[in-house]
Amino acid sequence: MAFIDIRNLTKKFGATTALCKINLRLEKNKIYGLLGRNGAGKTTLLNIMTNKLIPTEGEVLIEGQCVKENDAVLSRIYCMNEKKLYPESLTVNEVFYWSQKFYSSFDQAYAAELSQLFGLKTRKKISELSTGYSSVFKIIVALASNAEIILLDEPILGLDANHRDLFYKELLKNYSINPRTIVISTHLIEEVSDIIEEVIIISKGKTLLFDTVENLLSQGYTVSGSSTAVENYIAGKNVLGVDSLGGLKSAYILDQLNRAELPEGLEISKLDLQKLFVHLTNSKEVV
Amino acid sequence: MRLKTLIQYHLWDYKRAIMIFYGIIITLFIIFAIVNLISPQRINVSVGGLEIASIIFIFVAGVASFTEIFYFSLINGVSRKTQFLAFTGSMFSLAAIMAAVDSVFGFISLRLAEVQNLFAVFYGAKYQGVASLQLFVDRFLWMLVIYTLIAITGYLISMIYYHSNKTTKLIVSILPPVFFIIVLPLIDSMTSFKIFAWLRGLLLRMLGLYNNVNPYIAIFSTLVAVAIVSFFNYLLISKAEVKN
Repeated sequence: MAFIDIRNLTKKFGATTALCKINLRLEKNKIYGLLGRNGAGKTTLLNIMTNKLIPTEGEVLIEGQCVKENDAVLSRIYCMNEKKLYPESLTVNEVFYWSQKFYSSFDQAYAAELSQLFGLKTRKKISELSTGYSSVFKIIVALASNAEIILLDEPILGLDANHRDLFYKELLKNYSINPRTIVISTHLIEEVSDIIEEVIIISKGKTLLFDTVENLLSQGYTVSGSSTAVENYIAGKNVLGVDSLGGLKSAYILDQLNRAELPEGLEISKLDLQKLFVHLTNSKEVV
Repeated sequence: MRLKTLIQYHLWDYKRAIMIFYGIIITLFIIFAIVNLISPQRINVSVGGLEIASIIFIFVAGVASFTEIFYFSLINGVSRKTQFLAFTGSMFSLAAIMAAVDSVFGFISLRLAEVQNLFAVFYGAKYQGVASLQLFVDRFLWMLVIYTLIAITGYLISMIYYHSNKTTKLIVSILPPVFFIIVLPLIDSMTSFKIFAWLRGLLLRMLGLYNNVNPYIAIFSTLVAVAIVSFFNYLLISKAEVKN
């Protein structure tokens, strides 16, 4: 039995189909990346998984128990939403206090420690937080919730480079101490590619791809070198994209590498996940 | 456990507003009492002032209780049915607190100034010569159910607006006043004023004021109305979703 079993999930908003027959089986204690372009249905999926939206068809099961209107199951999931859902008049400290009341395993001391680390002023009201600090605040609540399943919807929205770095470090530290199932929905794919173990790509409300990062990256490679050598090499190959810098070029190729035909002077590295994502979401027909 | 926590949150959320509300009421009562004590003539304080003020307060509390707490509850993993129970429970508790405080105020104020209250205006005739404890209890029960009904009606209105798009909001805002102020009187005048006479009779029966005076009929009618409004509240909250 899958830990999280998403069965035939469909969500319609009037005439618009946001999700169409999504089927996913997520395992326990893994970190998943939920990728998709704007309007692909990522937030809708996360909202259905946490009972914020009611599915038109299908269901989400956690260890066989349906999430819909089930307080016991819902208490095992925390979803950090991109949208502001906390009362604006509450202070950060008050949210920590009430989160502990709703999530019995919420760690207030850890929340305070993270607030200090990120420089979040806990006496501030939610309405007074900037976009970046609003994300920091929600990240802290999510990490300190100690829920078995943590869903993060665009967690790094508005975060500066330092805070993003800090977030990834804390997420991994938290995960290594207390393994759990984490789903990260984000646009900054390259940044999370080292953290996530499996990738779910949804496009136009349908599952486009669900695979391990390792498998995905093994489908292609990056070749770098002088512009002329790279151009000669990639001629006739399935090229996802090319980056140029001065006289140097990097080309992203979706194909198996044949080292025998690789000319001297060219370097091979792993495929760029972002480039692969753009290619897949632009060209592939969803199934 | 979540039900209890959410009821606690609701009451915590109203705490400050209640303190301000009763702070103002107490101040006004003290002013009236002092003026009455030093004045050579006893003065009349407005009829039913406290109950009307409480009704307005609890209606606003009901209206303000939906969107913000609905989102807050969802992010904390509280189901809609628990939210419905928590709201109904907290509003009943709030109504009980306010009815108790208002009853005590009413009891004290009668000894400080010539204060009339809504309950006395309607049902005063029944309590001539009856021990004041029964009046105190009956008034408390009457206020409890009335306040509960008003609060959950405010919540219902808030949810109707939440579910509506711009056009429906406009229709919901305009249609009832137009119906009651223009259409109904027009039909009434065309039917020899039978409609309003019937409505008046119905209202008096529901309030326990038809032929004789009986506040228990009003309490029962209000409880039935509470059940009906709660049913619609449950229907609407069970369909409510986070707006994208």
